[in-house]
Amino acid sequence: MAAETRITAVLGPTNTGKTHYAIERMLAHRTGVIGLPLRLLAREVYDRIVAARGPAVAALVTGEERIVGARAQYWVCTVEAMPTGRDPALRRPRARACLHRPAP
Amino acid sequence: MRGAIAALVPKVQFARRERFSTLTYSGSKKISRMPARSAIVGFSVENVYAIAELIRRQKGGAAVVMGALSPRTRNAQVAMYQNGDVDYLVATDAIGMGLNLDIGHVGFSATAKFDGWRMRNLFPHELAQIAGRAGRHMAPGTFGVTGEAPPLAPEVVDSIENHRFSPIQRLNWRSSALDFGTLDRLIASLEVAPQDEWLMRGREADDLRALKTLADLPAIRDRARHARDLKLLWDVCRIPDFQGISSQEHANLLQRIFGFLQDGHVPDDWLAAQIRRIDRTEGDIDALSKRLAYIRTWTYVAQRSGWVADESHWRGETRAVEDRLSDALHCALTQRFVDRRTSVLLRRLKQKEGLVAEVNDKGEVTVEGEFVGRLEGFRFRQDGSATPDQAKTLNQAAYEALRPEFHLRADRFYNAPDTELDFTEQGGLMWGSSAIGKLVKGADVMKPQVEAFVDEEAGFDVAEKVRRRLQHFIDRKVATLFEPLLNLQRDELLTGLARGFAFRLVEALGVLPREGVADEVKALDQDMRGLLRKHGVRFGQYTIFQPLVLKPAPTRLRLVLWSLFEGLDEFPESPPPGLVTVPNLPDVPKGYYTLSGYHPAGARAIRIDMLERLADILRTMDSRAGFEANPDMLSITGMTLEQFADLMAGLGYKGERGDREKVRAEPVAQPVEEGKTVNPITEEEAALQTVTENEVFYTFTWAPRPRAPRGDRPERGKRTGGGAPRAGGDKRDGGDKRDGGEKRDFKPRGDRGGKPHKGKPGGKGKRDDQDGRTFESRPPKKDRIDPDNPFAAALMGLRDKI
Repeated sequence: MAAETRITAVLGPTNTGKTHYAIERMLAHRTGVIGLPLRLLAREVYDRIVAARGPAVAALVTGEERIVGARAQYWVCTVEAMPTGRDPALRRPRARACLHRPAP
Repeated sequence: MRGAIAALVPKVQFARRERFSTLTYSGSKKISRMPARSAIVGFSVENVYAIAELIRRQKGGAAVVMGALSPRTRNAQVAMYQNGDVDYLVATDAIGMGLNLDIGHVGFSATAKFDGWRMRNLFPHELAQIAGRAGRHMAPGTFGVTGEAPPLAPEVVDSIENHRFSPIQRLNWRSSALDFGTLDRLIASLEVAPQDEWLMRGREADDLRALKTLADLPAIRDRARHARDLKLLWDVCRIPDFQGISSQEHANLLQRIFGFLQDGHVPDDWLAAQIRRIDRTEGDIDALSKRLAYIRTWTYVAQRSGWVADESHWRGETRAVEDRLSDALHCALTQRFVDRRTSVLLRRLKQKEGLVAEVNDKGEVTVEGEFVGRLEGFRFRQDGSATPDQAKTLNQAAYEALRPEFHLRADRFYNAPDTELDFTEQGGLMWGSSAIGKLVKGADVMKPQVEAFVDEEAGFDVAEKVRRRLQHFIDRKVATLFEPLLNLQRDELLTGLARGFAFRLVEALGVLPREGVADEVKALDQDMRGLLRKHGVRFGQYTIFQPLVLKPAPTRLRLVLWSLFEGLDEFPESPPPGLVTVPNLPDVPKGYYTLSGYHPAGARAIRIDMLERLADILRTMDSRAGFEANPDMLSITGMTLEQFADLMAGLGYKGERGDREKVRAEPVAQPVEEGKTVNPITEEEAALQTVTENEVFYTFTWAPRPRAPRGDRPERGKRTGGGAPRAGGDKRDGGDKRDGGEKRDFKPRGDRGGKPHKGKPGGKGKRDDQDGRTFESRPPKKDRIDPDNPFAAALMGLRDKI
């Protein structure tokens, strides 16, 4: 099961709840990483996860900040700061979501 | 997008999501007409500032979102919008990137932007990304253009509304397989072209450009020989150009950092100096934005592992500076683009919470700590500095907050003693120093009504309370000041003619010129007059009046009541109290002098009671043969001889001017004892001998003229004809001044009640001597000795001796 990779592209116009869906999906797993195109968005998603699950299990990693909870399970990153697999905690992430938005 | 993903990612699954709500185009709309909960999008900082400025002036304020803001500042600005402090969001296209905002409408103030290379129109999908901010979740949204932006083309509108865009043909790509063998190979690996038909190489990015710039420097080439160095160099080049400075300056900075890192860490003291330069929270928005951008470089540097010696210290330090700058920037933005007063009040109004208003002793009203205007009495005067749009909010908030204050104040006013209230000469009603109402004409001159100055917003109860209190006040005032008059009106004993006459007098507010009612007066018999006299009515030769209501306070009220009843535009004010004569001005409203208690005669008007005193003296004179002014007359009127002559002319006397040698008076007042011993005749002779000057004198004779000589007072001509005072002759005029039964006894002096005039005739002889120059009256007649003079007997005796 671990070897099985499933990739889903969620497409839709603005205001269709894509981000919300992605967060929900990730929180349904035990661990997860979500990448966002902007530090700002990462911050917002991180705040939502903290609100939902508490700061201990959330982590925020961007170029300019790094807040890692004691038992970090959900990693919120800007895409360029996404861990590339070296981090042992992320070796087998159950969910990986990457949000793409057109860059301004 | 779907095609590209399908081609690039094998076995991908798709999930399509649809909008919960509609997004519709609403055309062009002025900024001033933007609905609340709108976001207005501009594409340059200047543009955004200008729009935000405009919104602040017209709508109270706007939150500002720009790419240059730190997340903290942005969140603070957004929070201000989300919690309703402001109803407008002005943003660059950075707004396109964000989570849910409560936006109903997105207005584009421009549809083209500078994309780093050139100005170009936005693509439909870019517009859609931004327009899509409007109407989140279930709420439908609208988008449109504003300001100078041209309306959107129908096909663009269509593709945004239906979310149909031309499929993406190519995706930007850069190789992630980097070759750290040599500098040139590293650059080449970054520039390698993609193999896939869906991919294309993106525009040269900042980091690659920086790398190329550095690669041209011999110093760097020398130092970057090993893979480790190249990796470090590439990491350094990836420091974003937060500062937006020229690429050369950026490269210099990177070179410097690379140099430090090759030797270990970025030195603490150097970093500290860099940060210290930035760590200042003063300055305007631009300065703060710039510093905020600068600190991000160092935040970034501190976040890299191993770049600084004490990572946690510098991470904390840079974060603290960024937070300070963020907060300062938020403050600066808010200060510039939000009228705090309006927005705070607006928000509180929306929350329907009780607003707290305070009114200080100067009447200044503050609501929730914001000065909004002044409360004058029961009228709220809004602070004039507000714009029309703010004014509405301000008013609304103020009245909301003032509601309890109005009630409290109305209660306080209702219980205030009459001494705190007053009326003005113009019919205004004052409570302390605030105008609180005015008098309005009632059905009866003595029953004025009141109009309270109470804002409609205070409510009917408050207005009614104030009105009732004011009515009580003025009713009591009339009752007190016109008590004799009201008693007259109420007296049941008065019947027939007397009652009719009493009503005339009441109608005239206690002062009736005799000439107008000569026949009625004539018709009153002595019993009737007696009844009227009991009410203090005085039948003077010129005027019928109640002396009590001629006092200054009733006079002031009388003028107001009369002006009110006559509907005058401007109410004449009463003459200052205490003056015996006032100038007779030609253009005062008819009847003014009578109501003020004055009788116009010649160039001046004389107080009614004084005129009667003068008339009493004149009656003793031989007006047919002629008489001269005596000191009594002059002292009653307080006039010079010339003025007195004019007054007399006004009363219908002819004054003949004459010249004669002036009698030299004794330089010093002679003691009476001396006077006894000295022969008055010899004294007179001696005086005559020393005369050197001439003096003027007038001889007055009764000369009724059909028209007044000055022609200004027609009623005077009438009066002079009707009420000709023939000394001792016409008892109709003469006898009825006194109270009680002596009315028929003609007594030239002593008719003014208790006033001690006995002394005056005695002084007369003296004064004729001493004050002759002042009064220029005739020297005393030798043969005339005033019987009332205390020394009369002695003088008689002396005369007999001679």
